[in-house]
Amino acid sequence: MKNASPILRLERIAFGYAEDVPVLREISLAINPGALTAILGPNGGGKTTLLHLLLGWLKPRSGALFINDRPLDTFTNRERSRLLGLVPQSEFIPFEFTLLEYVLLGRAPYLGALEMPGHRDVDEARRSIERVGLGSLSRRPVTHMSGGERQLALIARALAQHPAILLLDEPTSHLDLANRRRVRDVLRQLVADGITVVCTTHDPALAADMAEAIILMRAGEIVAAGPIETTLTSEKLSVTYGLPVTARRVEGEWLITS
Amino acid sequence: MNRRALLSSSLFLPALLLLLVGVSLFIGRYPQPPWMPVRLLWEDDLARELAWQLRLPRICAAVLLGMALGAGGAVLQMLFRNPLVEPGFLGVSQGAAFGAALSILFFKGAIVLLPLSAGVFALGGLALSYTLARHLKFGGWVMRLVLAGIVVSALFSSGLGLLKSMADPRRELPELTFWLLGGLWGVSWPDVQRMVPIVIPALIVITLMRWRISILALDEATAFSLGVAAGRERALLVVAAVAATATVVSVAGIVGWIGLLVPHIARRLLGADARPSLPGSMWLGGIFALGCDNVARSLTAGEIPLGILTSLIGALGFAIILLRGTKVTRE
Repeated sequence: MKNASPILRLERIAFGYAEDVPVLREISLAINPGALTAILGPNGGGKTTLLHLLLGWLKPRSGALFINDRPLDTFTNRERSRLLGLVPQSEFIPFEFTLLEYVLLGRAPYLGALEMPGHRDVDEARRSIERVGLGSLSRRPVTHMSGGERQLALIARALAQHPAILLLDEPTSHLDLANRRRVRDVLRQLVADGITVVCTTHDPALAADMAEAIILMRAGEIVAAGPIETTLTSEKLSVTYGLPVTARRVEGEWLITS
Repeated sequence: MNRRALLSSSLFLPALLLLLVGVSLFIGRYPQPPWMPVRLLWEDDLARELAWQLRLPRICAAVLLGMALGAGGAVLQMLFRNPLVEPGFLGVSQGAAFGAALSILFFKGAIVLLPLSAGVFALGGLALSYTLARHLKFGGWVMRLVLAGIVVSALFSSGLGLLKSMADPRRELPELTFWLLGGLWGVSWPDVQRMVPIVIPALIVITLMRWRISILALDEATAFSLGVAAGRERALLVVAAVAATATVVSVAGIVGWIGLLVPHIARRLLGADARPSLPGSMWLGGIFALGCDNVARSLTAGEIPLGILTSLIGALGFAIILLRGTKVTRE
């Protein structure tokens, strides 16, 4: 994995919502393909902002982003949407779309503005729903689903895009243990299927549980980035969170306490 | 989307509307209420004249009015992610009425200027509501939109009140009062001809983009991640919905509640997916407006203003929908 060329690369990216209030300061990063990378850090550290920059939704004030060595801003909307899928932290859905109708929206990158989804798109949507394990719920309104099911529905919609890279914003932060596990298992399977997964989280235990690489962020800067063994150390976590944190490995399991 | 919803929205509802159009031609107070026998169309010159020159244009106007408000309401509800939005709530109707009043007062209701002025102020009303809602300092997005809409509508109606007080009570005031009540009396073919070139293309744009509208109902970042040029497409749809609304308002005045109630009924019957429910709102809007207008023109010897009827039925219908709560969907 170390020798693979990065699928996502950031060169000296700086960003701020207002001119003089920097949120990210000159960040450089490389994200390897086919792995699960966690962007880890305290709330308000710029994780979601970084995710939205990776998506191209926010434009950096300076610096450049590359997907497979091609600058992100040279992709058309359609090209980009076939490569990058977004799973927002939560989504307000004011209407009672059924799960199938909702996931079907993920086919937009393959359809023109006036085109309707056809049988093939419906099949793709069904396959995505199967992949996240919600096969029996495709006619249930998303608005009537539990938090865990909704999160999986969001993932299914992004999968219908056939993305090479899946970006997730705090995918499990408001889920209970069982649902966390469900989402984690789905994400692991996606990585095994060859999808590059990048997710933000404020929970070191969660990052330890599923990530292969970790980017530690604090106050718009990168504290450390790299394989989990070199980044998830007591020293680096303590710097990231600004309080003493110990990370140990006990019989192959991470144990993180503060 | 299931077969039943598809059939209803593309076959059953349009057929029902067509049938109602046919029947409406014979509903009325001539020769006596409530029916005109079909044979009179051949036997009675006055009946024929009445049907073609008075009833049919009015029927067409009612159908266009209902379709524009039903579809426009559905579009705005989805784009603003708010099932409580209707053109009237966002200052569109009041803006159009104010624009129409301005044109009546200062340009003597010139036939070209009136719809134009109504359209400009309708769009202005929407833009103002939207901008104000973005800058309000409290409440969620839905709450802020509704509040901003109330403020802008109130501004326009006080402006309208001012214009009324300046109007000539014999000539201009009756014409102005008409916009506040809403109705289709006196509608003739030229009015229909003014509606068609704006309402029909707008409805076509809305219908063609009906699947896309569901994506625009999602979060901005999500829509972006799906490759949709959300800003452009949203603007196109809003302009289509508002242009259609402003046009029908410039002919019929403020006819409330159709744009709010009809999309709710359509979603209840056909599901949230806009592929069936948006055309469904359009057809149901036409059916509702035409049905109400039939009552408005034939129930009494005088005329019941259409806007009063749609408000009465609309408010009652909406209350019933709210009382029944959300439908629990079976697996």
